[in-house]
Amino acid sequence: MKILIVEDEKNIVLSLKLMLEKMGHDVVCTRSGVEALEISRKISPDLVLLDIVLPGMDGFLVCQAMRKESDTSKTPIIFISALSREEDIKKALNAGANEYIVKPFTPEKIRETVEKWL
Amino acid sequence: MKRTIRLKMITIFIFLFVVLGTIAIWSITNFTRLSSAIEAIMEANYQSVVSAQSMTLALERQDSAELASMFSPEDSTADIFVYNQNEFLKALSRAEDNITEPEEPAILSSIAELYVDYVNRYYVLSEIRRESTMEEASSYYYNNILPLFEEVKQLTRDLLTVNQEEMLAKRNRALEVARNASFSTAIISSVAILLGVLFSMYLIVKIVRPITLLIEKIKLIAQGDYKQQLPGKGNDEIAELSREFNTMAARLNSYEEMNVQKLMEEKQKAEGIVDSIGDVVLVTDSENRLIVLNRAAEKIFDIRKDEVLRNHFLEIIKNEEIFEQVKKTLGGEKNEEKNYVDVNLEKEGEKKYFRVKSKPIKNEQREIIGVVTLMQDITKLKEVDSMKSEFVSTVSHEFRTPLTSMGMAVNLMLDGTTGDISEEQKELLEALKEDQERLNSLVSDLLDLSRIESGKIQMDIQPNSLDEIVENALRPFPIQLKESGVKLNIDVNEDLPKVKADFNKISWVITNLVGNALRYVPKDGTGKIDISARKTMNKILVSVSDNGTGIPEDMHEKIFEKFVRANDNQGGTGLGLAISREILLAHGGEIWVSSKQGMGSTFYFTLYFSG
Repeated sequence: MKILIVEDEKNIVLSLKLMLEKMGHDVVCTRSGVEALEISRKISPDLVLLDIVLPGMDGFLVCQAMRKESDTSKTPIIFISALSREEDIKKALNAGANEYIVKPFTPEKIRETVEKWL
Repeated sequence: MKRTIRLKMITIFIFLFVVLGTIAIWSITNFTRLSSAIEAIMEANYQSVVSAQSMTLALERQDSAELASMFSPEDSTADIFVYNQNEFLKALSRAEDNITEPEEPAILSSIAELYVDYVNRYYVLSEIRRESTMEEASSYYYNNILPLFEEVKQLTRDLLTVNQEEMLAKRNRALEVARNASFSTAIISSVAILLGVLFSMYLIVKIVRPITLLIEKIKLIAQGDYKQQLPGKGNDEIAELSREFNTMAARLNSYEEMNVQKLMEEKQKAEGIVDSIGDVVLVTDSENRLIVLNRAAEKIFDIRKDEVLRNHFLEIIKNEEIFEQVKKTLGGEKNEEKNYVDVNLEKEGEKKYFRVKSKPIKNEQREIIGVVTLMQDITKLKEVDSMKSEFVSTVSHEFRTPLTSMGMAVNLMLDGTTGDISEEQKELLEALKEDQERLNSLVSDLLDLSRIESGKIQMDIQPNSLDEIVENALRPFPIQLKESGVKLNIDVNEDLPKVKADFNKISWVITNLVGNALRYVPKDGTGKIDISARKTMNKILVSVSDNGTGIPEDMHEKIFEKFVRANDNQGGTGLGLAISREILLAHGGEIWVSSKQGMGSTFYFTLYFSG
């Protein structure tokens, strides 16, 4: 399975990529929203892990944009964010997120969620 | 000598006695004059009248004796004549001794002269009778004696008449005297009575008037006018009383002035104190009229104390929010949620925040007669607070990302994703994981607290049943309880009224309290945790007690502060109780602890019930 990780924190990307590849997935990473949209158009990922706070285009906009693309309109998009306020979660769900994981998270949580949506 | 009232009274009486005496003397004088007038009549004329009558009688008897002797010359007739001659002479001498009228001497001397002649002629007649005839004697008698007899008799009659007339005149004079006496006595008595009445009245009025004045002034003093003074002239008892009265009134006046001055001083002091208070102070009466306000109030509301006092609160301070608080306090209503209201005011384009607190003023009967409203300027506090929340929020947020990657890395190494690790490496990684988790909860608690404090988290207060909240709160514990062998006893009656609470927040509070208790109870199977709830006057009291190590008394207040833990070795972020307190304050409730070291602890909190 192809998983797209959109996250600007390279240390988090490192752990996520390691873990997901160990689980047997193909992992593509990017730290930019705009780039994420280009990649998703190109590879049509099976699942997207999306941070909110990104340089330039934020996660909400990326999510909305992906939902408009026919390839990714049904793709599971899981938000991973340090923003924990209800309004942020609602906003994400309105933008088309399937799930919202608040940082800090554990490998188990990611593993469970990814398995749930694939 | 003092002119006393007694003296005045005595004067009245003496005066009346003098008047009475004068009248008496005057009357006696009049009586005396009257009686002497009568006496005069008796003495001066009665004697003469009697004498004249005696003379007439004696003369007539002599004449009879003469006539008898002519017919029968006997010695007896001569004796009668001589006897009556003596009587006549006695009477004559009496008359001569009692000459009172001017005519009397002439008459009497004529009588005396003629009578001598008459007596001589009797002896001539006796001679003629003895030596000559009866005719001759008779002729002598008729020619010489009878005319003389008639003449003497006439003279005695004159004497009588003179005296009788004089008696009559004197009687008239006595009558005149009596009339005059009656008249003058009447006049003098009238004048005396009139004078007596007037004088007595004058003196009585003089005695009574100062007393009347005294009464009037005392009435005025009784009404509180201590400036009254009485004319203290004179030296009678009233004047003395007046002077004493004046002294008393003056003392009262100075006492009053002293009191007024003291009151003024106290008032000024109080005003000074009120003015010196930096917060806005407003005092309203039972009609919501402003009665006291300080300089801070003048400045904030742009009003002048002299112009606005006694006016209705809303007329001057057009802020419904503040007035609502004042009205509630006056009505004796205790604010359920909190005892203050935060308002913001726009002052010269600047936004200012005030915390408005009201306290009722009660009289001795415990009735509310006014309200003191204190408005604390919390603008700075709000700014600092929001800065702090912002800071905490940012910092916590910034902590989360590195904590996530740390956690991820440690976990991946521990679960073998990255390959096998030695036992020592595992131990170190476990330690790293534990502290990473601790930092996680600290950051999340900190974030929660800063949100609650800044009011960013809105309480969703609804009527909720307490046993449901408790049930929800205990969800995380079953495994932990089983492992530690702690007995959990829940005594929450389903019949209790619903509490006004945010379900999740109060649930969090109970979870936190039970979690704390679990940390401190013995893990050898004797550990006990009791949760109970009961209804009080207007609230539900919830308690969570344990038989753990207990909390020293000096920590009872402190443990609700941030980052304070009773025991440093037992984990926890040190924020749980602070967050619990914030949550309960937002509910208008309270939280406190009762504990003795070694005897366990009981945490209590209160919530309003609905309906």
